[in-house]
Amino acid sequence: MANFRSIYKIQIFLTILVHVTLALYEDQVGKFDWKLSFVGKVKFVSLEAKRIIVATEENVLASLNLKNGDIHWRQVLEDPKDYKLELLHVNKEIVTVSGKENTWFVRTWDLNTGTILTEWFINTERTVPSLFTIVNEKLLHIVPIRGLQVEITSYTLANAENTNGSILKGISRKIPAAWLNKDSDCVPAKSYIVCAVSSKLYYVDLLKENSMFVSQSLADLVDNSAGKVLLIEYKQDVPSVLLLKNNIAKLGTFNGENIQIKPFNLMPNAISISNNGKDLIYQLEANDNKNKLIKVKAKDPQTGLDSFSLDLEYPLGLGAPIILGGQSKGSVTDLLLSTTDDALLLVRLPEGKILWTREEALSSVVASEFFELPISELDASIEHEFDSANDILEMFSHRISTQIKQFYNLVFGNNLLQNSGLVRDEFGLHKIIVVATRAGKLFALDTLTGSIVWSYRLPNVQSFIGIDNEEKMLLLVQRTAQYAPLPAHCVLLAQDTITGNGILFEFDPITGYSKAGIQRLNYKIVQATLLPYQDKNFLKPMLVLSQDEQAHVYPTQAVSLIKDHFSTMFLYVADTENSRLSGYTLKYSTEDSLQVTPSWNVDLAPSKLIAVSAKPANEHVHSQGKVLYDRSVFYKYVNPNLLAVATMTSDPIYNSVLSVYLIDGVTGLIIYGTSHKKARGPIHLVHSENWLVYTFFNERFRRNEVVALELYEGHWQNNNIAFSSFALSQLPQVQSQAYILPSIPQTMAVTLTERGITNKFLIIALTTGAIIEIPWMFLQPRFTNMPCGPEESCIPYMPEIPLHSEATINYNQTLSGIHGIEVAPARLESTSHVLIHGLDIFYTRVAPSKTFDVLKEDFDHVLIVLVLTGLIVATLATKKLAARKALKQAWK
Amino acid sequence: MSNKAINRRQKWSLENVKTYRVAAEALPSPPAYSTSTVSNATLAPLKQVPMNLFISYMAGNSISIFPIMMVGMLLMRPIQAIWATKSTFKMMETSSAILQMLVYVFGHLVNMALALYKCHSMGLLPTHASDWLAFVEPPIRQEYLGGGVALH
Amino acid sequence: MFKYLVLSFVVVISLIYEIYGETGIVEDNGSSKYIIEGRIFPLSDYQTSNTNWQSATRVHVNGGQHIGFVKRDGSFIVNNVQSGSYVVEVLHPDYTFEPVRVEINSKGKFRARKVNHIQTSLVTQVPYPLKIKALGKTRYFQVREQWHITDVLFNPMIMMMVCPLLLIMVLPKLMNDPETKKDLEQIQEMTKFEMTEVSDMVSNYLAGNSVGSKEGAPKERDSNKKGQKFRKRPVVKD
Repeated sequence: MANFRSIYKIQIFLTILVHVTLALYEDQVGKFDWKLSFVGKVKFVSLEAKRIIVATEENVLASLNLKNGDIHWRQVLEDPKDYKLELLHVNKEIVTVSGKENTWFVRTWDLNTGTILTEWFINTERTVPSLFTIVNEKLLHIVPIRGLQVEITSYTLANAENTNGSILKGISRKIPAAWLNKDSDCVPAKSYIVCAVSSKLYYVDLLKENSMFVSQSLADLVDNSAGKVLLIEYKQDVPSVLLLKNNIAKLGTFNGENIQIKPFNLMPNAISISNNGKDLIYQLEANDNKNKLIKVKAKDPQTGLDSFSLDLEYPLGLGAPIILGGQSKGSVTDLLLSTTDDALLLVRLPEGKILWTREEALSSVVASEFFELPISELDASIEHEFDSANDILEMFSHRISTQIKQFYNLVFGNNLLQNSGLVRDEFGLHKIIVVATRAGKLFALDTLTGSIVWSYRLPNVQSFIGIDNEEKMLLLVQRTAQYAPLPAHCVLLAQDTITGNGILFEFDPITGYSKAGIQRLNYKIVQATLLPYQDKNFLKPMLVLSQDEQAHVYPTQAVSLIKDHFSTMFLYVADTENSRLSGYTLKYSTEDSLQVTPSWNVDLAPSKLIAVSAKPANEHVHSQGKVLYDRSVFYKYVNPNLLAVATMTSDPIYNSVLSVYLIDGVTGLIIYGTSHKKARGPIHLVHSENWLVYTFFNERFRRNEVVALELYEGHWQNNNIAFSSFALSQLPQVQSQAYILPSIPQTMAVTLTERGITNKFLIIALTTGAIIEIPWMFLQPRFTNMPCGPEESCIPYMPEIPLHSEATINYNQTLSGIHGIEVAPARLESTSHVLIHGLDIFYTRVAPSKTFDVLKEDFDHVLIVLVLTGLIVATLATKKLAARKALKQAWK
Repeated sequence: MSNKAINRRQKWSLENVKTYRVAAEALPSPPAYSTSTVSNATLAPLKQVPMNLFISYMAGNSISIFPIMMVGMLLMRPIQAIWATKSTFKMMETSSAILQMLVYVFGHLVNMALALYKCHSMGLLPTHASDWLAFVEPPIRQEYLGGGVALH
Repeated sequence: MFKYLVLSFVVVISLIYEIYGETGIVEDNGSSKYIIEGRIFPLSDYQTSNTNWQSATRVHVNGGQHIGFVKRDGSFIVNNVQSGSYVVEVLHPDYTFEPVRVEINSKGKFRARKVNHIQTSLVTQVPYPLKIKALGKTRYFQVREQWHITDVLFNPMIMMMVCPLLLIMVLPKLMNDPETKKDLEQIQEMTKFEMTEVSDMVSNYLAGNSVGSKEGAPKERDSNKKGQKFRKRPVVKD
């Protein structure tokens, strides 16, 4: 006990001493960071006068401003992987039902502020998909049970406020429906339930006591053609439903036990909007006009005649739209459209103007890459001097003219050579971030403002599924923008939605222009990697491994370039299903046939592979060793081919055991292995330089722990000229240390700098929505027999890592649903770019050792110049005065 | 006072001390003892060594302004003096001048060695491997690895 | 008899309902679901009374495993919680709240204690239903170091250099003033007193024991003084 107390005191004392002076200043807010908030792909919508209430696929309830689409308030509900929003109903307050199979949360919210009013919980035994609908202030839970019946439980929401506890008690009713099978499709239609099974339509009015299903043959209602009939919900005052067959919909209205089908045809996305009691059917149709792709039509519900038709100037880059909802007030109608690429737009009729667009695809980023911008044309034009390499006079005149232009630029401002503004700035801090989203759309964001520079929609493209059901696409940089006039070249690898084969998309990341467009391959991609050699056009070839263990090189001519390097290229693939790591070599390939030969296998079954991490490819390690207190060097073991692998084994005694291995990716040698008993995921691995950091949940003490491993060679370097994975003379020494993390990490990354001189920070995203930066010095394993103090630049060991609120790099902009962190080095050695994506996108710059290579922003140039000139003047004046006085003295 | 007073003084005063005026040339000078300015100049640096030793000891081994100033002074003075050797000995006689100049320079070198030893004890000399760590080039990679988790 | 049976039956049924109602158990396949409830007390400063902080506050149980929202009166509930140990944290962008560990045992008993990662078995109980108070406004920023003139003036080195400088420049000017000179001389006279030399005192003591030594003493002293002075100089007179 006393021990712990003293540790506490020492820890608090040291925490105050080792005050993390790495925080932002209040006036730096917003100068180099920005945040974009999203809601996700909209599922349900309700327009209320000036506000739009949306419920999205990301389990988010939000209120948007009608005029400009900005988020007024947003409530993020549970994890969308498990819980989905099933119902949104807006009257005087918002009612949402979200949940999964057998647990449902029913919540009511305040319309204006988004504050929760009440919350209930429905727990059922049935785990089949069910429906919810609200009829007459009652929430109906409709559970169709195959081959038996339809169970309807009705909950009265108004009464429920007085119930004790939060379990809603409902009145159940069972309606026999033995015809229910897996093909049956049921939708609610106000107070009716309508089901379509094989060739019959069944419907029942729930408001009537003891009502039973009435069946009607579909052939009578709809035409006899082949095709399945699908039912689409159609919200109207009179209970109605849309019967969809072969892409033509027909409207059916219920009246008692009869259904009346209207004779006219509708599009599947038709909705009904009432204007002062008068209903109109709005729908979108494709148009032949190339400039106006979409036509909006309003039809009379009784006759089916077009009362209004307008050609809409639909932007080319957006996908096909459907109408989600709308409202009419007087002569103005607003329609809310959602597209196949997750964008949300508001169209105002009768002008046919698109008021605003929200690109909600950015709420699910799966890959991102930072790109440097090219230098300005003016600077690049100097390079053109050597175009005419033979004529000296021409070269001279070209140079003089460009220099005159530069001089004009300097004096009069840069109006002479217009650029799109996408020009590299002094420190290389203005970059382009290319993100690939799950919807198959590519965006380019500007790092200075966060605005979208260009976007490109890739139809029928989906992401790969990686480890732990993570969705990802591969973005590989084949050429950066520094080789002007050659454009930058980037490749996106994804999967085709229909066939599952690979997709190759080559584009210029600065402008978004793609010469070849989407190339659909005829094989499934397993992995891809960039080769470290450049051809004469500075293009790095890409090697793609297909599922049948064939290797393909893009561009195909590059095989001649790499034919001398076949014996030094290796690939590894981690198979998560079989928990196996395989290594491949290209040694036996020839220029004509590229052959990938398996070279090693590490089988970790029956453990489950949960995380694999390799070192960042563009990382430089500057210092080769650690300086000890006696001025000797302890050399680091920097193996760029090292892989960190984490597996989880379930054990009868210790619930689950976490094992972490360090495996050399070229030889397959396991360099180090460790295990933690009673440890549970989620595991996050960060692998860099000569160390590895991983977090896990310790079930015994119920806390999150962080372990840091550091590898050293010893006091002598084995080979300080070249490093080869095959030339391993002895295993490296591993120092490890564990710490307690007082919060739960969501994801982790480490800062990267161009030369690797600056300190490293670990950027940890917590579940609280804050992003914390922890210096690597806190986590570095301390040497046991060596003193640790400020002289050795060593912070004494603290079992619990202090998380100051000042270390949050996103200050009070808490982020929701954080998915990943991307880090890129900047041209300045002291800075790294950090992009955090998830439901929100946040970008900032981190300077782990403070900006040691730049003058601080509030550097007082004026004051210094004034003081200097003042002192010089004073010196000269005093000199003159002193000389005069001496002269006077001499004459006395 | 007048002569009378002096005489009277001499009459009463007891003279205890008799000065024996011995010819300076008669006795040979002890070895390494020399009154000539040349030898003074030659051996001056060697005479400074004990004093420099004491100053170094007093200055201390920490890295702060006073010790650094001392070390700087200890280093720069001999260098400047060596530079000005020629002019110092220009005025002297030319007999065995080379030997004397060598001894003079040697004396200054001893002083400089002392200053370097001081540097070493302060830890300023790059004698350890850790001092050259910043110039160590990272080893060249022989094999390249690519790949990742199997995508499906 | 019959009435008695009915009455007891009713009592038993109502008891069962009461128990179920209190703890909110829903028996479902053997795993019970509980509710964590509490109330949040924000800082009573200007900001919280104006904005609707309730909609920006979230309650996270075990890092988002279960979520609760805050009602207008500051109370919150988290539904669908099974038995076990949970860390309940209240999150708001501008205010910091202390996390609480809530343990629900299999019988449905709640225990709330402070979160302690190092001494995990230490129990500092906290009342349940939870009462979570705001610890304060979260400090995200560092205050910029301001430069004040006092940094320069009160620096000891500067003071050591400047004050003597001032004195050197100011004092001579003071001294040259005739009035101040007179004042100074007066002060000097007042504070002046005769310091007897030790040798005078000793010789007095040894020699002057006679009557009237007091009056004679000064005279003696004077003559002694003269004589001594005279004697000091080794003037030999022939």
